Amino acid sequence: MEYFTLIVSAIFINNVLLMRYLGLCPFLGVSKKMETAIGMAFAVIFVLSMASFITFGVFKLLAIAKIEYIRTLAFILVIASLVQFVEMFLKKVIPALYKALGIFLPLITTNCAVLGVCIININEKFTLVEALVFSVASAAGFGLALILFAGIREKFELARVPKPLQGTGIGLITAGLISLSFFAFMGMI
Amino acid sequence: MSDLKKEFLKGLWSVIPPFRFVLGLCPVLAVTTTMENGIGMGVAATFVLVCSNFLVSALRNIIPDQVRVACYIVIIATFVVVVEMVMKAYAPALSESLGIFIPLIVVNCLILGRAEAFAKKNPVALSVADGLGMGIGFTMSLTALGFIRELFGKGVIPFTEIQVLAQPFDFLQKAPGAYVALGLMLGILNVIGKK
Amino acid sequence: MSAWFDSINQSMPWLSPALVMIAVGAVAAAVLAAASKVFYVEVDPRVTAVDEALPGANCGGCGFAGCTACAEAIVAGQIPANACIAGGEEVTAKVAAALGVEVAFVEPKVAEHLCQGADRASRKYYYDGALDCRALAEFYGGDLMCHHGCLGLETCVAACTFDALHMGDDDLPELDLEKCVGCGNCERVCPTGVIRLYGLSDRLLHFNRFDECLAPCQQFCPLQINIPAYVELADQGRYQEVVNVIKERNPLPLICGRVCPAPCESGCRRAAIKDEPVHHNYIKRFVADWEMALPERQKPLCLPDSGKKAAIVGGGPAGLSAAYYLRRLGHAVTIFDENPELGGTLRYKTPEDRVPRKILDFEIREILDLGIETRCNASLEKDIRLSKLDPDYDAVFLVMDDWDMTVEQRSLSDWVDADPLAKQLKLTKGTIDADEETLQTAIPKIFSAGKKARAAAPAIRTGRQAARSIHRFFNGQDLRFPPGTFYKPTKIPESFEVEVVGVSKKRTGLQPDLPAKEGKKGSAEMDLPLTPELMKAEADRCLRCGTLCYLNDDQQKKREHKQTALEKLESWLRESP
Repeated sequence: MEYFTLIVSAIFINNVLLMRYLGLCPFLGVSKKMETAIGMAFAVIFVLSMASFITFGVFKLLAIAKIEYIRTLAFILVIASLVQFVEMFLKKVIPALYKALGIFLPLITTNCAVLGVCIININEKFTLVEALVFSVASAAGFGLALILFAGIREKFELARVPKPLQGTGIGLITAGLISLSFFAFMGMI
Repeated sequence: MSDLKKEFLKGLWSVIPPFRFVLGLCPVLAVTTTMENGIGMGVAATFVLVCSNFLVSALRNIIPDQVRVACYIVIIATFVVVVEMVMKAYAPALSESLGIFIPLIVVNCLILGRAEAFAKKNPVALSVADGLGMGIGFTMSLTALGFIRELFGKGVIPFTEIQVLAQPFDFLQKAPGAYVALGLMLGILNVIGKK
Repeated sequence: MSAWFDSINQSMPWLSPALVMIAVGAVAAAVLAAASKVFYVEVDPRVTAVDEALPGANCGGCGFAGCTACAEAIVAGQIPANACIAGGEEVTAKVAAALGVEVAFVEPKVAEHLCQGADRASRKYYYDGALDCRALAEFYGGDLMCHHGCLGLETCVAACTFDALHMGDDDLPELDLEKCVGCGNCERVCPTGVIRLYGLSDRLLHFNRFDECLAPCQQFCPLQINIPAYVELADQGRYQEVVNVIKERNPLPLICGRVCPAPCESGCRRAAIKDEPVHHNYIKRFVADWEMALPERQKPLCLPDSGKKAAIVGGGPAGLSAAYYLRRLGHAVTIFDENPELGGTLRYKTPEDRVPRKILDFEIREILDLGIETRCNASLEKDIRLSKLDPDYDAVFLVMDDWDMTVEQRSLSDWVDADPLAKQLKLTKGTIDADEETLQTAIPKIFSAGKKARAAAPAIRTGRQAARSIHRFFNGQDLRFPPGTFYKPTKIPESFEVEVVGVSKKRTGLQPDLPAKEGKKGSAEMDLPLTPELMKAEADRCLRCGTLCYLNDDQQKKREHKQTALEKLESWLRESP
């Protein structure tokens, strides 16, 4: 049951994007079209699960050497290399997926959600399994928010939005309203 | 000299992050619950930005093209670790309230973006000016947003205990309010900018 | 173990971080290096070379999602090297160089926006929905009464990846022809078809359709000349362009300016307010005469040689017209005529004072100067035998049914029976059977004008119709017209039910007894007051009509000099080698 709580909390109650504010840059940049949003969502799930696994191990190594303070540097290096590796892997083994993800794959390196979740894993002192579950669930929550947003945003392209708010402005306000709707989940658990 | 001035000034208004130059949004919403946090994050980010711009620009002819992104990230991360530790030591309360957003300065698209778009192509002095301008602009934005959110969201005048609003808009202190406030501020800035 | 680390961290605090980071870095580097070998993907170097030759705009004009996809298709042989329409000749040459192949000519196309309605156009309802033309078009075909105008919601502007379209002040999209590369994105998204791509061949062979914006004068003109366009150009003093517009439909403006009964004037919307019509024919004659007087005339644009040859039997107006258009499309043409000189009915059956021979000679000379061969004094028996023409020519157009003109006094059936190939043609009541729309006979490469080529104007139109059929036959395309095409003058009833309000009468400066109308009785070469001022005053009277639109007195707009699509195509084609 604990895992269930963890999952529900990660996706709905403390949605990584809408509540924790992580992963905003791609959120506004990628959500203009539904296909790109879906591509990004899957890319993030893919990378985040592997990243949390590896960073977990790396942190253990840092703990042994008693130099936990350097975790930011170590983690980001791991994530950057991981993304590069995944790019090469997909290009060869699943070229269709590689084509579909396109430019969003390298962009995940700078996605604060990935580094953020890895750091949260450490701060919350999760076990390996908990960390993995949490990571996948967080990424799924990110994807959910992204896809919801993209759907609405596509419609906004055709609506009469006041000039100053066109584009990012109305996007942010919409994100706020979606996030408000997620507040409803607060009482769930 | 006028070049320096130009690069510096553009970050303060015409290309002010994150309003005109829509990058680096993650911390903006998270830390601006109070004005103090906003200023703190702004200063930290400015420090990292200036230092990384300096170093990237200084090394721009040495860093090979294929590994440049990885190198920039390592440079930025190093400075972030420094900031992390300094904050923990000298401003523990601030460090506590800023939480994971301090290490997340590493992946702040603003810093990486300036390194990629500016520092790698321009001499050191201009890069530092650019970093300083952008950083201060960023800090100003954070401060403004933090001010509004604290005043109307908590009802207190920042840095004091003076309660001015009996029934503050708690909405502004939470995530939804942050988004909406940022969106509206962006709109207002667009209107002012047009005039 | 941890005690050891503690002591190291005490004495040499830099050691552990350095070691760990180096270790992590080394592992990452090793893994990546191994991965780059293991996961190495072979990329055909030709694909890279072609991809580099392509513009990289990912506009979709070639039909592929992105330049890389296009490059792969080209290298795989799925599409030819000239698939990149947007890049044009330059890119095609580069691609061909990358592949090591020869380049074929691709006709440049450019977009043209045909609606001038904007706020003049009457709307059926007020729309407050999604701001997309396609969405608006879902509701009863759009909010315009005419059903084929510009809906104004900027969908084409958003679709253009080359920044060539912007919304103008008058609520109509403005095309920046410098930036238009002819990729066709705008054409694909426009729900009413008001913005389309045209190449020179499209323009020359275009026949009006019911779903186009056609002013009443245009609907009456038997040659389907774009009268509103040329009047507007004449108003701005751009006479050479007026000539070019007219010559897209009529190669004999000098003569027509004298003999045409000007049905367009009977259709002019000014008649609805009981005003004198705009005298379009006067303008046409003025401009034709102006061109004749030029010391150096601009040669009409022709496409590069296609390698195909056409024979035209009969040098009258229909034959001349067919020859003119086929030559402009790049085909080699030879005109055969029994008579000593070309001209057909215009020369041998029309009096001098209606069609001055000097003018006729001049105009025919201009047409032949495009590179058309002639065989006058051709013999029906020897030269004009179908089985003799068949091997030498890729298509034959027969326009010689005025049999009382034949020198040798043969009858049609005699001539047909005398030739083994011609025997396959079917005859009906003394004319060769040909499809009314395509003009094709029972033999695919033989085309016949049949009884249509009588009066000058229908003859000229029939000639262009034949040129279209023959050109499409050469290209292996379907000869039929798209549904709803008028290949004969047809009226759109709604145009004539329009109530004209807010327009006041404007006196014409011309004398009531205009030569154009008088030409039937009097002399065509009367001294006319053909002055630029009178002509401009006449052009000013035009209401710039559309199917339903017109300009009322409050809307008399001044249009600035905007480069027209034809002008752009002309400059492109004239500059290329």
